[in-house]
Amino acid sequence: MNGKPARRIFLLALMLAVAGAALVVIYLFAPGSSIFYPPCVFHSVTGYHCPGCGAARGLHKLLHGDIRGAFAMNALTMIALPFLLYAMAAEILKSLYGRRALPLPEISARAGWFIFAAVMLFWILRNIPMRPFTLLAPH
Amino acid sequence: MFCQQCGAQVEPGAKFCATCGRPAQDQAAPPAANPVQPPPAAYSQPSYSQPQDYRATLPGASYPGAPQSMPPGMQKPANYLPWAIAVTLCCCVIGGIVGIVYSVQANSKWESGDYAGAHKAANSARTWLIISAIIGLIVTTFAIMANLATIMATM
Repeated sequence: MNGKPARRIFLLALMLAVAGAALVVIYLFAPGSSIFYPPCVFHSVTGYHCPGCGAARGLHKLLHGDIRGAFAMNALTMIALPFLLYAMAAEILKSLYGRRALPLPEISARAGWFIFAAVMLFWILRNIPMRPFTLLAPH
Repeated sequence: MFCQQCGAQVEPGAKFCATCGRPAQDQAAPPAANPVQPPPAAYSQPSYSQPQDYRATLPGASYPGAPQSMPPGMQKPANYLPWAIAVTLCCCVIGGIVGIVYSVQANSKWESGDYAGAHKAANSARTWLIISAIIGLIVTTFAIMANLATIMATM
């Protein structure tokens, strides 16, 4: 996030506002049965699940305390969630203060490619219509 | 004036090169005289992470993507991997995956000493992620409005 400080803070406030509004909507309204959720474009076009399919439903369950149900919807998102929140908070603080406020280990290229492979593998496996792979699809 | 890193033209008064992200340094006004410039100690890479580039001293080392010695004041580009994964999982698979690939490429190019390439890849990641997020927001907004219109029509 380069740019002038004022613009940077405005962008940050905008992002937090959108994220906060999304969280409130996801908490209040169950995805799949409400006007607030567009269907996944990839899923409606191909019929296959994308890596993020079930994330909104899972987050709704998680916000209501149903951790098992959340993992049943999208396990990858639930595993990634704490790491993503921490990493994003660290990057935002760094862009605000110009230095690391939260310690964040450097992600080596090797680790980065491993994460990329994990996402692609999850994408493929959750579309195999067989147990135990169906456990990775929203259910 | 021109960027000292990639040679692209830089707007007068700009703090960063728009092409490679290198902090712009006006020849007439060295950064030390610029009060807005952050203290270099907080930014600079620790010295142990600067690869000793023996390959650059070999004859014929000027192949494309040849490791360059790191220009002074150059920082590691921002890491967009968390944002890329979030975009992938939240809305926009294609743009998010492209963002993941570019941000990992930025890391691997930095590690191999291709500093300008690392900045280019990081900038590509950022562009893809911003465009994907905006498209996702627009699609969501339209879907909500379409749903509302359907409900209104049936009432």
